[in-house]
Order: sequence, then C-alpha cells, then structure tokens
Amino acid sequence: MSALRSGGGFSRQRRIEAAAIHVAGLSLLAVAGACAAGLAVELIYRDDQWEPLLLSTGAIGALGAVMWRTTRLRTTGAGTRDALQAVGVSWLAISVAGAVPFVVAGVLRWDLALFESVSGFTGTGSTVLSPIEGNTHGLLFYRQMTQWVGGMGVVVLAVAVLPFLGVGGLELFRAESPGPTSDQLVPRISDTARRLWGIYCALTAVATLVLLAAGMTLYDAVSHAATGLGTGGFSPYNDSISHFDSATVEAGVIFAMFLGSVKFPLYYMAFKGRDLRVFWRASEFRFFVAILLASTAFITLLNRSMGVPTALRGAAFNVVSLISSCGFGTDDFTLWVPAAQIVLLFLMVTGAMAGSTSGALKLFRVQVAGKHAWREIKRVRRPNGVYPIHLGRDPIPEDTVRSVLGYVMFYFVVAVGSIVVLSLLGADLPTSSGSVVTAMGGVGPGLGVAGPASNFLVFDGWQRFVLIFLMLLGRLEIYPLILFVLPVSAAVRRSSKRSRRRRGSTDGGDRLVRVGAD
Amino acid sequence: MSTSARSKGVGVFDGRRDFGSFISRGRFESPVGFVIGLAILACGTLALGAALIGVVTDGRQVGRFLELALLWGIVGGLLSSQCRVPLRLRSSTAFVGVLAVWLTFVTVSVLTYETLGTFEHLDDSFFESMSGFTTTAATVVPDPEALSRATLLWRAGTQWLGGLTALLFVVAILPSIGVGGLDVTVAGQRYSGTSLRSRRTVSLLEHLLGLYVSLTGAGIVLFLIGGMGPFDALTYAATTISSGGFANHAGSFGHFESTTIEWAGFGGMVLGGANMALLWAAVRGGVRPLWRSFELRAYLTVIVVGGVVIALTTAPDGGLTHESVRRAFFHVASAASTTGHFVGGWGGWDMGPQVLLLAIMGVGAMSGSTGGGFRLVRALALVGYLRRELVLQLHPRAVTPVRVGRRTVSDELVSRMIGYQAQYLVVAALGAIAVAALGGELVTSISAAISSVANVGPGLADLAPGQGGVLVLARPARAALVPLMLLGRLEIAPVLVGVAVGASSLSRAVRSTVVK
Repeated sequence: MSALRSGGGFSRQRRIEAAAIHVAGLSLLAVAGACAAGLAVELIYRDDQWEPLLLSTGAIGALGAVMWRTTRLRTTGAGTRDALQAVGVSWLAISVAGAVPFVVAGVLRWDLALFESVSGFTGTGSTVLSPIEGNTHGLLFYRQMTQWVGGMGVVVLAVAVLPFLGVGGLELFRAESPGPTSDQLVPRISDTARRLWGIYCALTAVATLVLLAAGMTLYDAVSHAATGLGTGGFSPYNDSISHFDSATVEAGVIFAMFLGSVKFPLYYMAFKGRDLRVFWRASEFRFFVAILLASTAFITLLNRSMGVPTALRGAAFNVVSLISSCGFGTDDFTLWVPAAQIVLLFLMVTGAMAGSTSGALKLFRVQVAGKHAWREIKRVRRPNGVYPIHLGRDPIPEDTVRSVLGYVMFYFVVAVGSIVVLSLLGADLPTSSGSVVTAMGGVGPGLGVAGPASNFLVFDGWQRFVLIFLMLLGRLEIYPLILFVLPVSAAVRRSSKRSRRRRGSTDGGDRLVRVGAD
Repeated sequence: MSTSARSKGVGVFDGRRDFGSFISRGRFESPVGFVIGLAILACGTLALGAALIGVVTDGRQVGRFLELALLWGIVGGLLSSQCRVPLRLRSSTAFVGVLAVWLTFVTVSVLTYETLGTFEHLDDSFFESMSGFTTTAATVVPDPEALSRATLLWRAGTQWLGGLTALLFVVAILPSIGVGGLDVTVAGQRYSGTSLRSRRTVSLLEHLLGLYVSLTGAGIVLFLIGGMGPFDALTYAATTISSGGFANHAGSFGHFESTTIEWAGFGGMVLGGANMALLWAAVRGGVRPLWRSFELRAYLTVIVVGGVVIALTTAPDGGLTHESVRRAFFHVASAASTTGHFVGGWGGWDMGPQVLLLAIMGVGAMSGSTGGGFRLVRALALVGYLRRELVLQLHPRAVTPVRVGRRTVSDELVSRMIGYQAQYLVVAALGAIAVAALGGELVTSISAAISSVANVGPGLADLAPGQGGVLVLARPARAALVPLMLLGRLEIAPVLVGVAVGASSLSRAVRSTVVK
C-alpha cells in the first residue's frame, strides 16, 4: 500500500488516470497471491502439477502489475460513479482471472471454471468441481484461497467502500469504519483496509488454532479456517465437513463461521477499547444471536423424529452455516421435513451482520424492513402518529430507512424474477428458488436437486450463467453491478428533461400531489 | 373533493339520494352492530334466493333454506333496525366493523352448511365459508355435482357477496382510512375519520353496486349464449365476476368443453380483475379514462405477455394449437384476476410456466377490483421506487418523485405500499412455514400460502387444479390457510388493528359493567 503513494516505475504524471483499471490491477495481484499460495502447497506436497499454477501466477501477476503500475487514481474528488465503476470492473477482472488456473490445469472447461471462480471469490461455495478429491493439493488450496482473498475484498467493500457510497442504507455504519476519518476517499480506504486485514488475518489464525485443537491436520485446519472465516464454504473434500464425522470438528467450524459473520468493526472496537461488551451493545448482534437460537430450536423441534441430539447437532450446524452464508455441509437438509427447509431458505435470504464476510440481505436491513412493516400497521390505527425506527438507542434517519427498503425490495424483485427465469429454463421450484437464493446470498448449497449432497453441474449452461450473474450481484450489493450494466444516467437525464418540459405546461400530474397532501 | 376525483377520471361522486335517514334510525348507537345486522340480512336474502332457485330446479333442501332465510332475516333485521350509525365514525371503528362483517359472514355460512349437513366436519364448513367469502377458490367439496342446486347457489352466492363487500371495502373504506397506499387510484384524499353518510361514499357505493350487478348480468347473458344452462350461467357468472372461482363441476370451465364458454369466462375474469371505479368512469365518460389508466395497461400487458410466454412454453410437440393457446390465456387471466377457474388445469405443465403463473398470482389484480393479491398499482409504484433508488445512488441529492405512469405518488403513500409489501411477504412466509410444519410438501406449502394470501385458491404441484386441490393437504394444514385468506382479503393491517381495537373496547366494556 505504501507503494501506492510513493509511485515508482512510471512517474506519477505519466500514468494514465484510470481508477477502475488501477484497482482491478491491484485485485489481480491478490488473485496471483492466491495462486502463489496454491503453488507453495503444491511444492510442499510434491504433487507434480505445479506448472499450471506457476504459469497462472506469473501471467495474472504480470498483467495485474502492468495494470496497476501504468495507471493511477484520480487524485482529487473521486466521485461515486468512479468508485462504483472501480468496484464493478475489478470484480469482473477477478472473476475472469480466477478461472485461469482451473483452465490451465485442465480440470474444468472455461465456463465451468468461470462459475467455480465466481463462486470462490464471491464466497458462495457452490461447486461444479466433481469429484473434488481427485485434484492435487495445490489446486484445491488455491480454490480455498480464492474464498479467503474474496473475503478480504468483501470486508473492505462492506466496511470501507459501500457505506461511503451510501449503498442500501450501509451509510448508517460510516462512523464505525475503523481508521482516521478523512474526507479523501482513497487514503481512508487504504488505512481502513490495513486495519481490517489485520483483524481478518488474526481471526483466521484463531480459527486455524481452534480447528487444529478440534483434531484437524494443519492443511485441513488452514483450508477450512480460510473458507469458514471468508464464509465461503469450499472444502477440499467431496462430503465437506461430514468427511470428519466429528462433533468436535463441527463445533470448531461453527465457531469459525460465527467469527466470520460478525461485523468486523466490532472486533476493532473491542480490541481498541479492551471491552467485549461492544458486541452485545450492537442491536444487530443481539438480533443475530436471537435468530440463531430460535431457528435452531425450531428446526430441532421439526426434526425431532430423528432423535433430539442428532436433530440438534444438524440444526445448529446448518443454521449457522446457512445464515452466515458459508455453506459447509454435514447433513443433507433436502431430506429434512419441508418446514425446516423453508426456514433454512429464509435464513439464506436474511444473511448475518453487515460489515462481515457474510452475504445476502444482512440482518440490520431485515430489522429495518420488519420495523417499517410494523409501524405502517400502527400508522393505520393512528394515521398521524410519528414512529421513528430505532436500531439500538438512536433513531435512524428516514433517508436511510428509504434506502434500506429500496435495497430489500430490489433484492426481492431480482430474486423473484430470477426464480421465474430459472424455472422457465427448466428447473423445478425448490431447485430454482433454492439456487437463486443461495447464489444471491453467497451461501453455496441450495434446495431440490442442488442440495448440499449434490453440485451445480445439475444446471445447464444458461442457468449457470444466470447464477454467475446473481452471485456477483448479491456480493456487490446490487447497485455497483446494476449501475455498471444499465445506462442509468441516460435515464436520469431523460426524466429530468421530461419534468422540465412538464413544469412549463400546466397538467394534472403535480396537482395530484397537492391533493394528496391536503 | 369531487373536482379532484373528476380530474383523475376515476369516478364522479355526486349522490342524488341520501341514505342517511335509513342508517340512523336505531335505538343504540352501534355502527358495528348495524353492519353485522346488514351482513346477516344479506345472507338471509341469499338463502331466500337459494330456496327460490331450489324450487325451480331440483327442489332439494328448499325447506331448510326457507327456514334459514327466515331466521337470518329476523336476526339481521332486528339487529340493524335497533342499531344506528353515528354521524361521524372513527377509523378504528371502521376496522372493527370491517372485520366484524367478514367474521359474521363466515359464522352465518358455517351455521348454514352445518344445518344443511353439507360437510362431515366443522372445519370443512369453516374452510369452505372462508374460501367463499374471501373469493378464494380453494374448495373442500370433492364432487360439487352431488350437492343440491340450492347449496350450489348458496356457495356461489357467498363468493358474489364476498366480492361485492370486498369491492365496497376496497373502494369506499380503504382509501378513507389509508391502508396500503391504494388511494393512489381511487380517491386521492385521506382523512382520519370516515363518514358513511357522506354523499360521496353513498353514491359511489350505489354506482358500484349497479355496475357489479350489471357486469354479472352481462356474464350470465354471455354464458347463456355460449351454451350453458340458466342455472350454470347464473352461478358461473357470480363466481367469475367476483373473481371467486367456485365451480359447479369438478372440472370447472373444462366441464363444458366449449370454446365460446371458455373465451367468455376469460373475458369475465379479466373484467372481474379490473378496477371497478375505472370501469364506472368509462361507463360514464367513454373510453378515455381506460386508455389513460397506466394500471389498466399494465394489467392487460401482464395478461398478454404472460399468456404468450405460457402459450409458447406449454405448446405441445406439434407447435401451438388453438387449444393450448386458449388454455394458456384462460389460466393467466385466472391467475392475474386471482379467480381460480381452470380448464384442464396446469398440473401437467413444466415447472417454468407454473412458477410464472404463481408469480402472476402473487402480484394479483388491479386496485379497486374484486381480485386480491399484492395488486398491480403497488407493483408499479415499487418499480418507480426502485428506479428512483438507482438515480439516488448516482445523484444522492436529486429530487425525483416516484411515478406510476404519469402520476406522481407522494412519499407517504410509497412508504405505506412498501410497508404493505413487507407485511405481505412476512404473512406469506409464515404461512408457508405453518402449512409445511403441519404436513404440506415443499412446493405445495409455498404455493398454497401465496395462493391463499392472494385469494386465488389453487396452487402448484399437488395443489394444481384437477389434481385434487386442497383436499390433498392434511386437515391442520388446511386450517392454517384460513387466516391467510382473511388476512389477504382485508389487506393485513385492518385485521390486526380490528382485533386490537375490538379487544380493547371489549375489555373496556366488560370493565365498566363490572364496575357498575
């Protein structure tokens, strides 16, 4: 990061001002880093498939370095649009570059490799690699690392970037973003990112130690700590966590997933203030714990016919796995009673806390939407009542409420639309709804034929492309990708022109507002 | 106020008569008692009608219906004549009244079915009554043809009456109490109290009643032309215009095997799902208001596009046939108007078109219609809201209103609509979980919950029409659908507020009696 400021290679002035390319180049270097980690493991295990990884590391690294070094950020006044564009471009670049090692190693066709790469970097964990275990340690470790690196990207995105772009109400958490509060977007992001990555690495180390203590080997512990904390859910084993068949290991993995689904700034605050109570003080955290306990209890109750201890073990693991959007599997929950599956489906929609590596809606949005729904009922009884929405002690500004509701509705509309599209492409309802929700939430396993015991090869090419799009859409919190794809600014210009024309003439359009306000 | 209404071309509210003297004659000031009495009277009239039809058709159970008509007539007449409505109502009273009307309908209907001995179990009577008065088409009658003609007429009549009441509720009461943002299209003004004696309300009610009756009449004529017998024409018209969906035959419209009747049914369902206030405006002022209504255009677009997509995806191997196209359009109209009539059903289709159908059901009919669902105007406002969110993302300080067509929707209304959307989702989700927990399969439970909240009736998979319907669900699972239908029909908040207000006023009354 310090190189970012000191320049080097080209002198600053000679670089091209292209923020998107610059950030994308930096991201490609991270992908190359994941490749290099895979390469190292390959060499340690003396598997003989190191050439593809070396080749990919070199190629991606070189491309990334060139993109990074020949461009620069805008020095002053980097605007919302630049930032959104940079986010969109760099995730597309990561997705494509991440597919390279799979293709070069010859294990996946290009479109499958793209799916696996997107599933990795977005922390989804749906896989088209089958069987998994036949591959070399290096490639599998690279696959784990894609999720860990993706998690790093997500944390920065969720804590340091999106709140400042005001995406879906995340602006609520601006003040929590660790690091000095600076007006300049760029130095703030790099400072915050450094702190977040410190926490991220420390937590990964903790999770690794816990998993080691639970009885995993070092390779397994690092692999699962990385994807558990990145709430990705890839595992180097065909049958995921049930490979270990141990309640202790499951408890350790639950711990890792839980760590990954708590808001990262809270760790920072707890560390700074030497005070663990910050967690409990966050209303979203309390809501998270309440949902975990309630759904575990409810699913245990529903599954009681399989024996309460077994039901409890399965429920606890899968509830945490799905709400954290991790997606590790133990039991095949597509065999559970339908009601339990529907509950799991909704957990995949809610997701865990904002500012963590988990995906989906995020709980604070669920809280706000729920409270809004409830206050509209109260308002029916007392139409002139004023009911501000609180999260914790402070009322939320109405603008933020509006933006949260907009996001929730966007999410809902996209999900329903995609379920219809996927069904029209030939999937049945449980499969299409499960896979859409799982892809948008970055979870991994779906329902129907795409359950945890299956893989995403059950979908055909077009369906997989829909899912790839949804994974990126969900991970980037919709707007960066939508604004990247749709010519929204043109629409804005059109609509402003229209309203200007309208203001000139007299027509009924605006009169209605006045009548409504009477 | 009337100028504002006229400017939107929705309805002209200049009452010529005043029902006020009729409304306020009773001894006790109890608006809720008055409407309960009216509801019972309406049921009595329906029972009388059933008895008369029974006399001219198969003559079965005529005596029973005559007794019931007498009983309901006396009870309802007494109650409504002894209670009077105050000049001005509090909106909370309106909620209790609305809830009370539906509960009264259902109670009367349950008692009727029990007296007739139509069902073996009480919960079946309850289900059939709720499904009838909420204009849902889910039925627990395995073979309707085995029922007496009088019972069939009663059954269809519950839907017709339910549709009419829903219409009055949606058009006259909802806007004045401001639920769910429906007033965008209907009235435009909002006040916290409502006056049943206002000329505006009364004349609107009159016009809608007239329109509803004449639409039903038109349906009867169309069905007669298509070749139905007079009795079938009457009952099918009643359940089609009310977007109810009960049928006299297990095969619904498919029973007749007549192209003309199917297209007539299609037309009837489309009309039933259209905004009645808009249709009234068209009757009064020509077709211009129709063309100017964005919601109507959207409604027709949904039907046409949905029909084309489904026709293409369900075409048999040899390509499109007239039959497959007709069925596609029939079922899309049935889903979009939330009616629930069918021709052959969609159980044999691929999952894709079925899921599309379910989505169309969830969105539902136009505002101000007898249909249910989330309603198109809210869906359109939601689209406008999302468009604005995108704009605000790029230009956070932009001032841009949410629009439905050319109309601007105030932020307050939008907020109410989004709130309703969230409530709708929560109710459907909890309903799906409840049905599944009580024994439904995955697809069955989800589709049953959505279909019930939207007041459609049939769902997907096992619940697809022609596959056995709700009878495949276990008894407790069926019972879980009952509250969903009511919540969907009354747009959720009125039920909750009605219960809360009713309970608190009841406890206050009890306390005051105890103190005395």
